[in-house]
Amino acid sequence: MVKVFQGIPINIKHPIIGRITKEKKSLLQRVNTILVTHEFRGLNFGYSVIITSQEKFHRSFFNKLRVICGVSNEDILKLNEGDVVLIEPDGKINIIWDVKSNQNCILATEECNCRCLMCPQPPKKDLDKDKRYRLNLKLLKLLDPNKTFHICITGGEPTLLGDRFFQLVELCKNRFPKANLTILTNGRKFSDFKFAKKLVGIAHPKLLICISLHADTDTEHDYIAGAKGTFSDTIRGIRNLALFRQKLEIRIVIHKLNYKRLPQISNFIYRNFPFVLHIAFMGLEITGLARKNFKKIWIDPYEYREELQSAVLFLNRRALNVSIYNLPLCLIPQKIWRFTRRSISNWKNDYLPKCNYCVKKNECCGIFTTSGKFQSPNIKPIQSR
Amino acid sequence: MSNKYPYQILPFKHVRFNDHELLLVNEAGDFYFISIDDFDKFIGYGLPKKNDVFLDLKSNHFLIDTNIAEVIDLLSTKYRTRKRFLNQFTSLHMMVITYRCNHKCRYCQVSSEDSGSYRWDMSPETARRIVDYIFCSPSDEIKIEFQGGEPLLNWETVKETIEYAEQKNKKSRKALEFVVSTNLTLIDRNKLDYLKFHNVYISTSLDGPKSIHDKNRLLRTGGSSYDLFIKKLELTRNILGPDKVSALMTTTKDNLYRITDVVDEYIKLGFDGVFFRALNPYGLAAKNESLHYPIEEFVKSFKEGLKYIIRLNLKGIRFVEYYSTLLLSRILTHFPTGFVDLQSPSGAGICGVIYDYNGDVYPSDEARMLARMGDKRFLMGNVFKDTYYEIFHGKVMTEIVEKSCVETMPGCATCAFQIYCGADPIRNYLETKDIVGHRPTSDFCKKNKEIIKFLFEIIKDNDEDVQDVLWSWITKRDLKEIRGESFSRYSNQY
Repeated sequence: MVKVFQGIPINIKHPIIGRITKEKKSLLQRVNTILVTHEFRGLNFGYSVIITSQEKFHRSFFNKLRVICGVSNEDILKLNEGDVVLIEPDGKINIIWDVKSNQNCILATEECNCRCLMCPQPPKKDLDKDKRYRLNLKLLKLLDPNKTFHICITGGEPTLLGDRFFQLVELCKNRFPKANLTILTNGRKFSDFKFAKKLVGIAHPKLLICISLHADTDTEHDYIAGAKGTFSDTIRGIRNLALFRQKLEIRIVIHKLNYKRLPQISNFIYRNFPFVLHIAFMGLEITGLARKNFKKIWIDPYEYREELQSAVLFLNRRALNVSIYNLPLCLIPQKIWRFTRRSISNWKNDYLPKCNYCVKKNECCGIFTTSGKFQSPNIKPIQSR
Repeated sequence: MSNKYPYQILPFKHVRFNDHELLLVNEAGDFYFISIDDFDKFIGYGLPKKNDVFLDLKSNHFLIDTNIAEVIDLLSTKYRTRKRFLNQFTSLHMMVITYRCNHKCRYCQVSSEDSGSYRWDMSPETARRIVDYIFCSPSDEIKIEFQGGEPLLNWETVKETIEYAEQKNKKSRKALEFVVSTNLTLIDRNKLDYLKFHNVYISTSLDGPKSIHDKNRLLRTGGSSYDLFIKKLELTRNILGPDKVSALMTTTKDNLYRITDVVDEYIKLGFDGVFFRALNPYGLAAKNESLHYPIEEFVKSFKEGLKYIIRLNLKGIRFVEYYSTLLLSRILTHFPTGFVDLQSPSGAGICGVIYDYNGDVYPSDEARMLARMGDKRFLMGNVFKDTYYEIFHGKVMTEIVEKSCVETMPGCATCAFQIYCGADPIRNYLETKDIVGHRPTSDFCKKNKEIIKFLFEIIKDNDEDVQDVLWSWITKRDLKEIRGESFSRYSNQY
């Protein structure tokens, strides 16, 4: 899920991926490059696409140029030098890599072996697996290794790619020595010892694997994950990866079905996985399946603030790193503010109008715009004490 | 799983905790407080599955109603982690450098000799031979502790040992550490410069305020041992730095009832913690009955002292009680602790060992104290007469290991606190002439049971402030760090 906007396509027959530039390049540097320009002058051959705000375009002269015109000035400003965009034949411009963000993702696949009740991105069948894979490879090749410091591989469930999953990790390791690599996964595939071993065998030096845990017992976890046997697989996956001393993070998305047992989940994590590097408690993003299952899963974060505080302090006391993602400061006790992070990607992050009166706005993660009207009624400006 | 039962009960031990609750502890040391009503339902297979108690018991691995395989995996990992101390062999190596001492403490457990009795010195040759044996230990970590008597009276052998061990370690590359157990009164600038150069730690003795310290710790030459100690402590700190000196107290009837004064004295003198340990009845300490007290009195003072120390920590004074820290680590984490008496099998010999002045080898300090009292029951061998294998795989060693597993010891086998506790075979032998011992009359058992129960009461209270303090000890962090009072927001690195 990425920032998307629209223009008028000319001569675009296939999806095109390219790197944004705002300065004209010499002819040899124009391959895979997308020029963003207001004025359309001079020779512009060789670029993959030209994006312009001009409304009209004289096709007769440049009849082979691929162009997106009529893009608003506001949208043009959103494009930065080095961004990677995917342009579709219908004129949609998808920013698939935003150089200003540190939360860029490689969407490895949209398929998943779980169907979590609160999934913001419902799993669906990948119609053209080869195409997606080629696209991701191209995306990685377009990134500047010297300016890329964080890559996240996500899905769907990225491990479902099998060998291609390993190739992606390998490519990240070889091409981006400066970049931390994060993999978001349900961990199920790692229950296969050989699979875990193969990933660890790549020896990516800056790899963190983030595994979702929904509950401290299998029946509850499996119910939330929408697939029987998930808990068992995930637990074994964590153990297998830990045997290789792989750096691990555990993520708990909080909702109506698990908030009551947050302290017990913390206890379960500490007693069984004290080796994890980081634990993140996360607020809901109400989109996708989460919106569909709204009634089943919604709980106002304000209602679980005590369980959250107890769960967070429990782990912090035990010298584990804990963070709280996606929860505005006004919904949680001040005692645990220090664990919050500004975790929502820029493009889907905003504040409510009343947040303008809040003295903590600059330190707050804000809300998901993707959650739409589904926001806590308890969000209110914090006044200085 | 049989269809007859809705769930399967996993192995656990239990103890009545108060008039309406029980404490359950499973094989891996996970614990759970349960009301008597719920307990009856639990063991009668009558707990409803949506019930929170059911989920808690399942989450803590007391019962299982679904797939048992990964639960066994998790339990075994925890158990293996707890027993990890067995992976390494002996790491603590004590050497009796001399039995001579310039003190004649009323509770001396080794019955020291006067300063002129040179025949009780360890010779440099013996020391070198011992170091050769020490380096036979497969452990990656080697700590050599100089014991006495007063080891500084035989300074040449101390130096010889340090230099010889360092030279040997150039090849072995182990984590090598030295500790001198000294009353400090004979320390001087030259010795301290030497100790500093070789990065040696000091373990000294302090019983409390001057009146208490001077009462039991007597100089052979007369005069106040306390005054001398204070002077030398300052000199030592100046040269070695504050973190190189720790002190041990010997609890007698004289300081037992003044435990808070002892703590205040430790803090006044700049120590960052104390180890409340009951008197070990060996040597003069056994003979001198005026020092003795019932173990119940010790436990009472222990609790008082611990509560006092926790309050001090909350006032901003960082100070640790080490025995509680050890037990709490064993209860609240699965990580192994390196304390010989709280291990099963006992760490005597396999974790720590002591080499007598003449090269005789004993499994623990207490075992050589016993030998000084005339009973060489635990003599493992001698470094000049026996091979490393004969000493460390001999009859004494194997018998201790076989008979000091709390999992099988009468009274321990069914004890709810078993996994947190350990065995002291030498003490058992001293009291009952049997390594296995007799729990109903054992002070060791009484003391540990009471203290562990007390710690569980504190855990159950779940006072946030107290928890913060206890975890600052377990995780060796500053209280302010835990409470987020000393650092700004984390960077956004995760």
